[in-house]
Amino acid sequence: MPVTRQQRQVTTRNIGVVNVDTGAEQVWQAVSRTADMFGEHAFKAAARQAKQTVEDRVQSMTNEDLFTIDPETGKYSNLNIPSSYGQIAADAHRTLIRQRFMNGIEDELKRVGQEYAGKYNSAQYKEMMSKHVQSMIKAAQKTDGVDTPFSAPLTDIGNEYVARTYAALRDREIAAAKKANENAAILGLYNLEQELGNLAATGQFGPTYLKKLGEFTQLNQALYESSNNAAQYVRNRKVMQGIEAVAASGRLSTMLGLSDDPVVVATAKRALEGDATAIMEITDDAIRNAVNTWFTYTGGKGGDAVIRSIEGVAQRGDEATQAKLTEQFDAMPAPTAGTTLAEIHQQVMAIKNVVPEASPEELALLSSSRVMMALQVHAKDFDGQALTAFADDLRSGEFKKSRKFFNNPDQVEAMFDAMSEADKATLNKSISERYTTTSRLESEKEQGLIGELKLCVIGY
Amino acid sequence: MFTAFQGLQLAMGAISAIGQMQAGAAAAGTAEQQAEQMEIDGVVKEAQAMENMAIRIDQYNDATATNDTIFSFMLGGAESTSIEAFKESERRVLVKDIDALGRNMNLEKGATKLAALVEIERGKNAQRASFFNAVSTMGNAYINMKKTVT
Repeated sequence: MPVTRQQRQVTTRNIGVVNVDTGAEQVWQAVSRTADMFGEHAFKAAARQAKQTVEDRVQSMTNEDLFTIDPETGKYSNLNIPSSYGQIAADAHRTLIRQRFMNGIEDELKRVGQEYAGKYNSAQYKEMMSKHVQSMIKAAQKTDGVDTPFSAPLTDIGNEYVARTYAALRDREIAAAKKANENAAILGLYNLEQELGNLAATGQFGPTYLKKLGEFTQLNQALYESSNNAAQYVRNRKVMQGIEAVAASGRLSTMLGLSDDPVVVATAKRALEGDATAIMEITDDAIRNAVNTWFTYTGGKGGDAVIRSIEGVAQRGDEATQAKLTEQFDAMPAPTAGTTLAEIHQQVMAIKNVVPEASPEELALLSSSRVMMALQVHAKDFDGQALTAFADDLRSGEFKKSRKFFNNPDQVEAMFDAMSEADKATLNKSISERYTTTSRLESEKEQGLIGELKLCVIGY
Repeated sequence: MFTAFQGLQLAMGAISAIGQMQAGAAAAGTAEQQAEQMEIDGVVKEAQAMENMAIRIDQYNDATATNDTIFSFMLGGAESTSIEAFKESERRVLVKDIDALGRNMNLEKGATKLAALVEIERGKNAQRASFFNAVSTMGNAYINMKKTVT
């Protein structure tokens, strides 16, 4: 039997390393991540809340709060970020206060601008506003004068606002001045129209009339150049032509009434009746020119009224109008020594308002009658001898001698003294022309000429 | 002005920081346990190496005894120089084997020890990182809270 030798069959085996990770670390990491997530949400909510709080505070600030200046520093006190603010609130405050400030600048400038515009003219406004803007810029700068995000835009906005509003204010002033000038011109034209109408209606076509006619033309031209209102210019030209037509008619009727050449008068009447060829047949140069002028201004219309005037027949309206005029005439206060020609004209114009249907001829007659009444208060007598002496005195230029014909010689003399030499010469010439045929005038006509003569004196 | 949201931010920051600290501690504990496991594994491997050496010696002894029996039978109990030389050669092989096994055992033991130490260090470092993360989280929560103050 063989011997069996046993070999080792069991040995120690490799047991390996056991993983001892229980997952505790992952649990705590999860806890941490969850807390981080909630913390992030809380942060976002707190950030929103901070922004909202700052926004509410900034928006609730009034312009006065915004532009409040610290008396100690001379700087805007509410623009700085409060020291307690965190970064988010500070950022929000910085952004919002800038927006608010930028919006407020215009309002602040408007407020002050309105105040200054109400107080000062454009030049003063510009000066005062520029000073105010400079003070605003200074208040927004740092203490060492360095610009801040508030002062830099303020410089641009402020200067631009002042320039813009100053230009607008200046334009408005210029427009207002222009309008005032236009209004003054319109008023002046109206007054001249009235005065010229009165002069023409009362037969006064002397230097005063011509002077005022020239003023009317110049003023109308100036008004047109200023306003560019062509319609107004044309209207005024028509008014002037109307007055000239009245004046031409009056002047012509006076000249024809004084003419002692029946052939000239008859030829002129033909022209007045519409026969234009008759104008050149008039041998008297002055009358021919007057008829020509009358034709130019009237277009040959209204000649019958001139003829009636020459024939001493005043154009009259219907009986009702006559009755109204008579009533108004009687109601007028009796003239006194102090009554002036202007007052008489005002009274006549007032009658015109009451009786608008009254014709210019009727009003002229009424005016002349009142003037006669006024002159009767002044003059002592109207006899032919006195009239001749008066005319002689005047014709010789001895104005002061005429004082003896008036009840109030000092007043008349003062009027003479106030006349210029040119006016005295014109008056003298006018009287000389009118009184060369005085001795041949009938009594009634003589009375009328005395009225005209004295009217000339008072008119000056 | 201190609001509820700001309080919540701080509270959540604290919880997150505590969680990170705890996670670090857990990581360190796990590493220590892992190191212990590695050391146990090292002991087992050492035992295996000892056993392998013993097995090798047993094999040598068995082979020597067998050879002696056969040689005795063949030579009738006489001594031979060539047989002695053969035995000497076999003994040298044994010594070399035992030497190699012993050397391997020592290397493995050292490697295991080193791995355990590294694992412990890794755990400690994880805990330190968690601490710094926790500090960062708390700081962040505080800074965020301060940001939202009005």
